[in-house]
Amino acid sequence: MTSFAYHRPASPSEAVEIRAAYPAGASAVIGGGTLVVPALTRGDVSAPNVIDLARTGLGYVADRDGVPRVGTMTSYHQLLTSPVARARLPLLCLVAAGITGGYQIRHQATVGGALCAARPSSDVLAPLVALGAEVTLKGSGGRRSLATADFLRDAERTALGPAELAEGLTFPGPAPDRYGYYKLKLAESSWPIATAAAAMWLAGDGTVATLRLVLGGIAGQPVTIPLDDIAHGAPATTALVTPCADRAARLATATWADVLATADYRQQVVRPVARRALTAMLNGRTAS
Amino acid sequence: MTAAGAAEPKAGATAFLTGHAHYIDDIAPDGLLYMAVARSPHAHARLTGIDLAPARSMPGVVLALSGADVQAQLAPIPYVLDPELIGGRRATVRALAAERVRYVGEPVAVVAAEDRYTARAAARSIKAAFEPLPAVVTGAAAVAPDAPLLHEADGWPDNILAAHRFAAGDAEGALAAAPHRVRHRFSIQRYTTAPIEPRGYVASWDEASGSLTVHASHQHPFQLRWSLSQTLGLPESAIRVIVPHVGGTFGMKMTGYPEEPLVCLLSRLSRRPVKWIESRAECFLGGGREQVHEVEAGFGPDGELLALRDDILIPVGAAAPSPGWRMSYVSAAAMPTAYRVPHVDIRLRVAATNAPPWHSCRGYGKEAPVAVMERLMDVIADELGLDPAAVRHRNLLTPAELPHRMPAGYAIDSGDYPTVLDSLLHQADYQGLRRRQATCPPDADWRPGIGIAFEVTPEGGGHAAGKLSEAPAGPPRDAETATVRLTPSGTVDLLTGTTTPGGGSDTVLAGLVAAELGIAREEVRVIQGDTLLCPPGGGNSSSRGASIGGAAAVLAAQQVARSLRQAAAGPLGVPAAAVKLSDRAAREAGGGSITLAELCGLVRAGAAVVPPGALEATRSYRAEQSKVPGETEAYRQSYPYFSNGAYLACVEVDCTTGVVRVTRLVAIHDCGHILNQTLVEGQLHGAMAMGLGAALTEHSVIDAAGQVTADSFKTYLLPRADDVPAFELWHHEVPSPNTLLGTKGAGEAGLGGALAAIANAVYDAIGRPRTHATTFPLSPPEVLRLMNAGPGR
Repeated sequence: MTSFAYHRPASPSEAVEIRAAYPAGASAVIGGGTLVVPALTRGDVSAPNVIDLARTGLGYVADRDGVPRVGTMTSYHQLLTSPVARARLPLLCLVAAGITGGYQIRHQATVGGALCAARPSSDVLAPLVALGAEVTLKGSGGRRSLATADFLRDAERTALGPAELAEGLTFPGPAPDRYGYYKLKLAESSWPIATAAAAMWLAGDGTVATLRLVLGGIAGQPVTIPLDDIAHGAPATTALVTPCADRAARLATATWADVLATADYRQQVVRPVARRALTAMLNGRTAS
Repeated sequence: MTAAGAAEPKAGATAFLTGHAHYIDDIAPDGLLYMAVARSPHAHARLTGIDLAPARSMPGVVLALSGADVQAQLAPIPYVLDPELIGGRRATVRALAAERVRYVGEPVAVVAAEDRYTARAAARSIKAAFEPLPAVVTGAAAVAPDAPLLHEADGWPDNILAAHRFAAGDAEGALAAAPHRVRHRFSIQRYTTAPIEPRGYVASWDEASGSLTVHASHQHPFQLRWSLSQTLGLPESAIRVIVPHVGGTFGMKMTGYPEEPLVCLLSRLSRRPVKWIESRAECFLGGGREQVHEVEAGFGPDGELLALRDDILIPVGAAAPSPGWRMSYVSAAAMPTAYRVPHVDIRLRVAATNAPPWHSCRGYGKEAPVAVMERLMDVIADELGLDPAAVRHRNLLTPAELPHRMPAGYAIDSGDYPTVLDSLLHQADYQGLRRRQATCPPDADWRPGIGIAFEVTPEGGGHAAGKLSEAPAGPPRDAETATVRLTPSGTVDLLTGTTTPGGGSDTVLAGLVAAELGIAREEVRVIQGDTLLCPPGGGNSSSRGASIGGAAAVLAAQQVARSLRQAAAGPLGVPAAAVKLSDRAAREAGGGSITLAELCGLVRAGAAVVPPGALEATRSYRAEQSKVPGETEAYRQSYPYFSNGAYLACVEVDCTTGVVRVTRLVAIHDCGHILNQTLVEGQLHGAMAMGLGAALTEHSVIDAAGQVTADSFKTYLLPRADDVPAFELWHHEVPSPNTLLGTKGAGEAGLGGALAAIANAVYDAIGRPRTHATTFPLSPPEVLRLMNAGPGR
């Protein structure tokens, strides 16, 4: 059926009320609509209720007492033009600038939409995990906060309850001192096949305090590679690239497959993808 | 020779750039209904029941029909090209399946509703009951001894749609005696055309006159009119087909699809206009070009190709009346392309499967043999340690050997292949590229590769070939017809039976007529794509629009020009032979002149002496056939002209991921006399980009159950601007002796050349992997697989 009720709540609370009024699976939520609307058009998705968050006022980037906060309806373009995002979330801006689809998609698609869709091939998932982003979920009973890594349960599965709304993302820690991102695509039009987000925080003496490497696209959810024993206290040089990339290749198990690539191929490219993100980060430049 | 403008842009382009040009979906007559199609979810199944009640009860639904409902009203769809003409088999194909479905997406019911959304919802609500049958999805499965039969009801004892053998000399003996032999398997994927505008039709039945007007995004309005008359049981005179602006055809918009009669039937039954616009997912059901070649080649120590055996298997999907399946014949008959091979044995089996039927695709089967022969040239070069260019030079036909009869019976008319190849090597600085390649550090992530390819493209309409002593003659090659008509006030109309897919052949035709009449191109109105107004013709296909259609337009314009000179002779006081037409006037050498408008006025007033009807001429033109010296056998008429070209690709291969970047694409192209360089190069750009996609990423993936899984632009990967390098093009014009204007067609060439050159460059970069197979597309996973296979020596 293509007939459905269209809801356009004017506030997050109203959105939650509408969500709560229908059972699980009876409503489809539209952020920017770049995934859900084509799916509705093709009949791949059907829901008797469509909730469009366009008027909920959740498209913003703000600095709340030193903590960057990104509303769930923030478009990639808003990120790229936000002074707060450019200063505090440069890794996210780097990712936003390379979103496949060009200007139209960057203006329309939202960070929160990509997060809630939880498609393994989305650009934004691994960087959010690498940055330690927390998702704020609003329900009729109040709010709760979850680490992105916990929010993302599996491919296209999240911790979002049927009566909840993802309001936004906060980035509690300091901005990374260095960062890198690499995505592998089969061609310009391809979804990312495998991604790697790398972020690094330095100690006062210039050695590495924390290095996070998160792989996207290879499994149902982003895969964080534990690197503390290699990186903590080490000089921030490209000497870290090989041991960290080798660790990633050894520990990460690719399980995700789609029409573009098998899990086996994704496994094979873990090392080079990780290596390029790490190299970009440690060279102080960004690649891809 | 007529000068039509060496490098002028497409006429009327502003309307396209500013969104004012009207396409099929802009046509919205009052009372319009929208059609949607319910399709089979099974690759092969018995249809045991269908429930239209939910659809019929939906508000806004006007009609819902099943296969049983339309059986009495729609005859089977006729074949555009009869398989029996080439010894193949026909199947009975109806617009809606009533008892059995043979591919995913086969129409089983159709609805018409007040808006397109209701129509789609109603189609989706239709529940059909199926008993699944074992499906054959691949060519190998279709020809297996115990394969389920697909078309036994039409008397097929197996799934072979057609089988052919094209031979010359003694391949077996020559292979046995050859100093070197190689076996190699070439597998080419199924891929499609993906025009920006999918198919679409608007049918308007007029009850009062019992006539039908069909607007169609289509290549062949006259074929469509004929096909509809057969299926609907209407005289052709009761049907008018009109083609608006078309957003690309690439072969996909030919005749024989189920939706063509269905949209007309719904209009006739509802007595309202009905529109159907194909969705992108429906558009991705179709495809073509898939084939496997098992090649054995024998060659000498200098790379001379002595013998070639090729066992070809081509799965064309379910049998269908549209002409897509016939590409299979051309793929085999165009072997061994531009090369002199004395001993050849080519066997072709064309298999029906439970994939959606092939539709025609640009290249029309001519691109695959180029890919096979050009990869083979490189395989031979690898075996012998020779440069790939040297191996090609050893085997290319020379001008002295043309015209040349190919094993299947096609005749290559003209060209200078060795010079074209040398010119490519020079323009691309081949030696310099090789020197720079040798300096690449061995541990670099990105490895450079260089590939070359030589392409010949049979054009002008053909397909069937062979000796008349062994095969029925078949119809002669179609002529094209044009009418040039001057109005009494001196404006000029050109009516042509050709159509344009958007590439600008109408611009070329206007320029040709204008040059004959001494007026500007913009002053010629081109009327085409209307079966009521235009002379019958072949629409657009096989690079005929300018070469054949243009020649007809020139002949008609020349006849009108003669009348104008004759009419001007009296007023100017000179003999007609001394009158020249230029700058909108008839002129004589002494300076006297009379404008075209004045002249037409005199004719209208009876003051100029010309025969009746002199200001209008209709002429037809058919290309000549090559006459091969020394031949006594008569051959079927076939492709009258062959364009040719040499291509070079530079790539960089990421040896850690298999990703390929194409950094250069260089071509030297011979399409004979060039009528409009801008438009020729536009065609080449498009075809070369298509070849790039074919080489690397485009793949109509069908899973083991027969489902098309690459059904959007996120899973079917067309090249985007960033994937394609700047094109470097040069031209080497060798006029065809077989066409009035010396043209050889420019609508398809570049696809096979770019495809093969890029493939060779990828193999060059990764260094002769230990494999006896080339498998397209060379997607990153496939390239990585090849690299992991290790070096060959």
